[in-house]
Amino acid sequence: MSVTKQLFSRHCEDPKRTKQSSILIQQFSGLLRNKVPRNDKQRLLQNKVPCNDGVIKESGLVRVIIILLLMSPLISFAAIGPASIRLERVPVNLHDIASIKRGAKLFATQCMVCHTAKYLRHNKLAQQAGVLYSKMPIGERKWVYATPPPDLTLIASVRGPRWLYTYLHSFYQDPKSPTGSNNLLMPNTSMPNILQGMQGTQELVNGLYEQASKPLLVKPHWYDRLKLVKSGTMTPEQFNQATIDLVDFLDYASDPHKLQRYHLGYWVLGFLIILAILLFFVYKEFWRDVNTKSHKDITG
Amino acid sequence: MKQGVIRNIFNWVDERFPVSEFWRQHVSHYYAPKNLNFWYMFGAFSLVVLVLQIVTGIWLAMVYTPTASGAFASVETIMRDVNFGWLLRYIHTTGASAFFLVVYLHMYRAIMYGSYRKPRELLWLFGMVVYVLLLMEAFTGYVLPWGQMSYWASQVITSLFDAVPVIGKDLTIWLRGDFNVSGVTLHRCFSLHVIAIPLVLLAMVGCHLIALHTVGSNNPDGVEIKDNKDEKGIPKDGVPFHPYYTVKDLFGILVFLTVFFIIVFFYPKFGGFFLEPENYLPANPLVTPEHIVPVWYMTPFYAILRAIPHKLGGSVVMAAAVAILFVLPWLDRSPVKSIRYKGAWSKFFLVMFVISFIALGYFGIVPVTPLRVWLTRLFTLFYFAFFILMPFYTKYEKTATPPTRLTE
Repeated sequence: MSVTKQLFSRHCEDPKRTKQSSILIQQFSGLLRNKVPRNDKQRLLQNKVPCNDGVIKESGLVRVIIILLLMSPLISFAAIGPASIRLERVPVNLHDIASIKRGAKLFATQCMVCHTAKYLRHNKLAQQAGVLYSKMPIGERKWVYATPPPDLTLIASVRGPRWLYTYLHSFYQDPKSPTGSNNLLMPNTSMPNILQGMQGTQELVNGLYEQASKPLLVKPHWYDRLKLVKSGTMTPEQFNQATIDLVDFLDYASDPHKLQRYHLGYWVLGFLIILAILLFFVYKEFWRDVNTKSHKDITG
Repeated sequence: MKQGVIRNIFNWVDERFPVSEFWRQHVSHYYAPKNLNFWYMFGAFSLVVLVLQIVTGIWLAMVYTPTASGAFASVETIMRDVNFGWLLRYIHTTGASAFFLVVYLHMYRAIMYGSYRKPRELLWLFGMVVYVLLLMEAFTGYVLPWGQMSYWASQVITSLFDAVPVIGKDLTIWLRGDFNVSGVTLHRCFSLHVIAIPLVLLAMVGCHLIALHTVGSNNPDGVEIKDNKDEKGIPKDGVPFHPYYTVKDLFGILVFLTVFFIIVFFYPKFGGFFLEPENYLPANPLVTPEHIVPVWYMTPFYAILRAIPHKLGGSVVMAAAVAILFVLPWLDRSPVKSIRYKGAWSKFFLVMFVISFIALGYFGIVPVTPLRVWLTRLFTLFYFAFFILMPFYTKYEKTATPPTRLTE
């Protein structure tokens, strides 16, 4: 962790431009939260791609063509793009309810702009933190230019906490991408960098990793590849904690009964082990006969 | 007074239904060899798992919805909103893997000590039928959560029938009930999983036990205890099943359950081997997962399938890998049963068989590379060599003379 923090502080060069990016993120979440009419919303989302709503609705074929057209520059980029990066360790703590709740709040205000967490519908902890089923963007938009954002209830079971944590950290600015940003772990991700306001702007630095002259087979860390060029509303330490909170929450969301399961597990195993020990003596007691008594005594 | 009433009721029943005779014949006066070691407990373990699967399955079926739109969500309802639903489901998913683990060890014990030899051929065959039913039960059950792996694994497995000459295409459609795996396929998998297969499975387990109690257990020495009886007709090396093996098995079952519940409570996904990460994504016919891999207990056969470049050929060899186990009793021509008294060749091939089965399981999980394909083919050869060469190496090798009575 300390290495990460050092690198954070080394990369944090310009703390003045915080305001600008926070305004950007407000605009972005605002436009998705029904403040802007729908057509404008889509146009804004796809501001680099001229396309017509009506056409898209009429024909699935056109939609496919548009998706392919959109992907073509990205595919060529992927070929020369950065190698995959290392998954960082993240201290997931089931017992840290405060962290899970902070993560849930972050989820409700940021992630729920696009993502749902449907299976948390009846979950009290999530509800208290504002992750409400009624507020989730279910069937709100049609995702015409990209794959629809996945439901995130089970994402920690699919990807694992380390993947999520690394993914959240490895966004960088990429003018070639339709969203304006790209991701090291998942190149050409259709998710826009919604965390930019908090984290600040990261840029891809090709030389940085090579300069460090690492062995060939070891994958680079995200922070070997990315450089913070503009600060966000949070310090790197705060942002790091925010992502840990989010991962804590997502890990909780994927299996909310984990803690209950562990508690019950100790009791059940305690019972089974004590019973097994008692039965071991019963078994030994009975089998002493087989070794000492005659055949007739046993079968008689 | 009270005891008299209970006794009267018991006698009333016993005169009309053979309760005490059954108990005598199968428990209190059923004689088992006195030297059965821990390998003989896996049969009892599999019965325990069978009961666990049936009981948890009944409760899961109360909430589970067998439709393409409702299946995935209903599983999450069980995991989150049903009281202790997570426990029921984790017992059931862990039970599936545990079932195969104990059955494989049970089968290995039979192979090791020659338990399939005369007069236990039919006992072995019933067991093999149970194993095949178990494979079908596992496959249909795996489809039910309707995640990505459920969908694509069933797509791959059912598409194997495409390779059948002439009727292949129609056969696949008939099996799926649709042109692709769909909600129709899911619904019939549910029906088979909860009614058809368990019914036959229970009947076959019953036959397996009846056959066992007719011929009696084999033992690590491979010596018939019924060849040495006392004047009352009781085998001299036998002990009554109750209380000796009931207490021994009960202790074993407790140890087994301890390990089982460590997994259920603390490692239910077992690092992705019991519950695969990909299956936490709902089924999506438009997105094919990068690696389609069955659960670990089927991977040895899946590896064989992948290593053979011809679809029909691969399917046939894969089926043969299971089918050849059926004829095992007639391949073994050794004068002795147990590996303890068999010769060096038998020991060599048994070791190679175990190594190749585990290696095939490994190569069925990891992504394919050219080197791995060739290694898989090599281990497939060793797997089949164990069976195909058995009539020769068991007949011509030098064996030790087994004792006339049990050694321990």
